[in-house]
Amino acid sequence: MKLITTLSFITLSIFCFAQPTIQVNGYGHLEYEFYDLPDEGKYESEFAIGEHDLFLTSKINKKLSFLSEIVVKPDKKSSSGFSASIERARIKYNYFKNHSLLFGKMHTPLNYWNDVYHHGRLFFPTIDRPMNFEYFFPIHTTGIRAQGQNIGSLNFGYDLMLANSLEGISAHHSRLLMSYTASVHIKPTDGMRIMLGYYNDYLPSNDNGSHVEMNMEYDGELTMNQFLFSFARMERKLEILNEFAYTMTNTDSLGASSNFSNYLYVGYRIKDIHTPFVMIDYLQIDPKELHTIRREGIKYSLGYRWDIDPKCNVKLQLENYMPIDLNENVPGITKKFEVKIQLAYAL
Amino acid sequence: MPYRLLIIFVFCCFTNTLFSQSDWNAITVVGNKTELKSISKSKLKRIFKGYESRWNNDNEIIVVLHSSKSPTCEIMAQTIFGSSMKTVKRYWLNLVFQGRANPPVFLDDNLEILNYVKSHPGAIGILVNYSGATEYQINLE
Repeated sequence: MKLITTLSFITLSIFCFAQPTIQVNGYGHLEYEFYDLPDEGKYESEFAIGEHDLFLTSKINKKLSFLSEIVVKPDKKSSSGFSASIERARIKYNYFKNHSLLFGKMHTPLNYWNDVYHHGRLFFPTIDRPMNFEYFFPIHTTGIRAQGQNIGSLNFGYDLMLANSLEGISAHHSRLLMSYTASVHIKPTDGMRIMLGYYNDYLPSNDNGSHVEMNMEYDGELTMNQFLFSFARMERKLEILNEFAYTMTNTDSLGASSNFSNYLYVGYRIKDIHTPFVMIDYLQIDPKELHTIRREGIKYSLGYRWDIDPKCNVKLQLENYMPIDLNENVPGITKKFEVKIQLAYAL
Repeated sequence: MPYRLLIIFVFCCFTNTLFSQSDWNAITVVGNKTELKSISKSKLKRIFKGYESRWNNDNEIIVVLHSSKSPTCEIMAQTIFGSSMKTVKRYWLNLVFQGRANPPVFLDDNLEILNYVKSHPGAIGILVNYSGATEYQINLE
């Protein structure tokens, strides 16, 4: 109790007496979606207000800075249809040159997408995140992180993070619940980033609500290892982003399972503001997987992005979800054709 | 016919380069307590792209850029970033959002930039088509 009071007093003192300069930005998006489910013989269409994001940055002193992202997002369980959450809140201590220590809740620095785009739909190259984000990817973690960036001629960077498990604090665990993240990247040329990431976690009761496609029927223990590779080339004309993920989970019930996903985006920027693009997203989940619902399939997309202003763009996307039949014990993803339009902006 | 189309395609690909306003002669670099007397073009580009966060004297680097209201912002954008001012704004918006760099300061003209640099240790800015002399000047190598 005494420690909490002292920490609160120190935090309050920093903000009250150091007179930090606060910069406020807002991000948001609106969407229209039409989809056709041929197997069910129905169409649906919806206009929606997407996530709205209050982004704050502040310099506390010349070595300490603060960043937070508070998001109000659609929530069907809430009476208003929306709920608020703190998606990022972290203090950064820049102790030497390009090396820093960060404390707080962050986006797990495992792949390019999660480390660069966060909740800013304005920056997303396509309307949706890669499918892997709904199944395995640990989007947020709370803990301590050592970061280095732009070191040497190849602009080498590293991120090492010790954080809470995806399961968070659990009452019935028999070991320390921690997740371990390590990633390295290089930026050999402007706009190019090549990145490798590793994540290890232990979930004593597979209790993690953050993944949309959770397997609610399994509540036993599970260990998870993820290996990720990102290649991004976001140059003046050609834009390429490839996100590969191999996730291995291990349970006493069924043993090890191997899961793959690969997202590929290719766009070509014309006159700085028009970007036609294609995207292919592949997902293959092992029949022995217990963390998530088992699925396999490919999502194709053809789209166009119009950057009306650096702070506003419109994306139009035609999408086709195709089930694949690699393993008879794994159902394919639901066959679906979608037309999506998204207006994303910064304030 | 295909030959003509090829020529048009090649021309379109290089249009931006041909008509870019890149002009190092128009650039004057100013800095305050950076401990730099001169700076190379590649180092300058790294700093203005947010690749560096501290000077050797441990002062924090504060990047000062021309805003889009500045009549010479395109010269700065083409020379330092090799792209349009829109792209520069988009680049910095994203870099700050990533949390990997502190926000730069955008100001409307040479005088505002010079005054800001004078009053902020660690600040570095670009003056475009500036003819005056200043003790805050850093020579370009």
